Amino acid sequence: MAITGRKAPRGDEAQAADVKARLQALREDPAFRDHPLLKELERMAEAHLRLLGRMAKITRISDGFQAQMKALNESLQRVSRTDALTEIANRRAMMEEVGAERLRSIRGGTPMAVVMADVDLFKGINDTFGHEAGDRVLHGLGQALKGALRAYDVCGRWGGEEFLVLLPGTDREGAEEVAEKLRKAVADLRIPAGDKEISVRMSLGIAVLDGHEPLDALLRRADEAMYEAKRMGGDRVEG
Amino acid sequence: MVNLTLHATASSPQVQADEKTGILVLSGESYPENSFDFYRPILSWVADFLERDRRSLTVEVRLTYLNTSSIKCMMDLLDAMEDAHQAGREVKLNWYYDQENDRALDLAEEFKEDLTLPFTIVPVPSEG
Repeated sequence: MAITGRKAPRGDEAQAADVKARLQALREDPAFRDHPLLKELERMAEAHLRLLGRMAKITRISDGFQAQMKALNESLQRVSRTDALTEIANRRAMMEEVGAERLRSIRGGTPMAVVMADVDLFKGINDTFGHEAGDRVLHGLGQALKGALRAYDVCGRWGGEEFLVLLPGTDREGAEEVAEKLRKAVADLRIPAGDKEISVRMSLGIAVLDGHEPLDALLRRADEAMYEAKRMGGDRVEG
Repeated sequence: MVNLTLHATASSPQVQADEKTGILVLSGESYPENSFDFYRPILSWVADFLERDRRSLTVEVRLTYLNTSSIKCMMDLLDAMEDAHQAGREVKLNWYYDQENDRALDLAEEFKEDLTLPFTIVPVPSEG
């Protein structure tokens, strides 16, 4: 048996046993033992048994290919929602997540908040340490943000050095608390670069969903708050 | 006796049957609209080759996906080869699979099960 644990469906086994038992009974029955049609019947029974086995095999192999397709499909789904560089959600996945959460929030009357977070002076990091180091900073940031969040929060890479965080069921006070925690987690982060260490700061902008406001309006407010944090010198939370 | 060449389409594999070398190659994915129509000329080619010739037949299978009716046709092909083998003909089958894919190996072994003809399962390194 090539694939352990998988057998022909029970119904087929029972049917095969039945065919064999009936054929055996005929062979032993004095009235049929020497009947001229017995040979023909044996051939037909053999063909029937062969067909049952064949069907079970085809079904097994077909199930195997189907399982393979399903696994492939799932891995493609995952890839299409993941940012290759940071290994967290990509913009498309975040759009879906935030859109779905907005509807849940409106329907359930629960609050929700988003935080837009952008690296301060990222160009300087690239210029000083090179793009490869810059990429490692982005990866480290993605993991640091994810690590500082609660289990039900979602964060993703929104663009270049910009990250979006979704905080379901969270009001202004809660969002400020989480955003401050994120700011600190980022400020504490050290990315090794040769014999040096890179440290980064982020500007974060909070927007709490206001009634039925459209998705793009919510995201625009978070973006504006983030730019306000930059204007105030960076490494801070606004909104 | 002629060669048989079918170009791959989105749903059917590439087929090359060479009368001189006695090699039949199937490669790609197999879920044609009508598998029985698609495989009929292939099965006929094999039957003709085995009937007319005493030379050896080699079938190379490089299929990554087979739908249910293609599986049925593949088993008919294997049956024809097995019969020839039982009759003393030299036939062999090489089944190639992506070595990263354990499921593909299991499936190759399922096809091989119950056959006595030389059936080699060959791992192929993954692309990229």
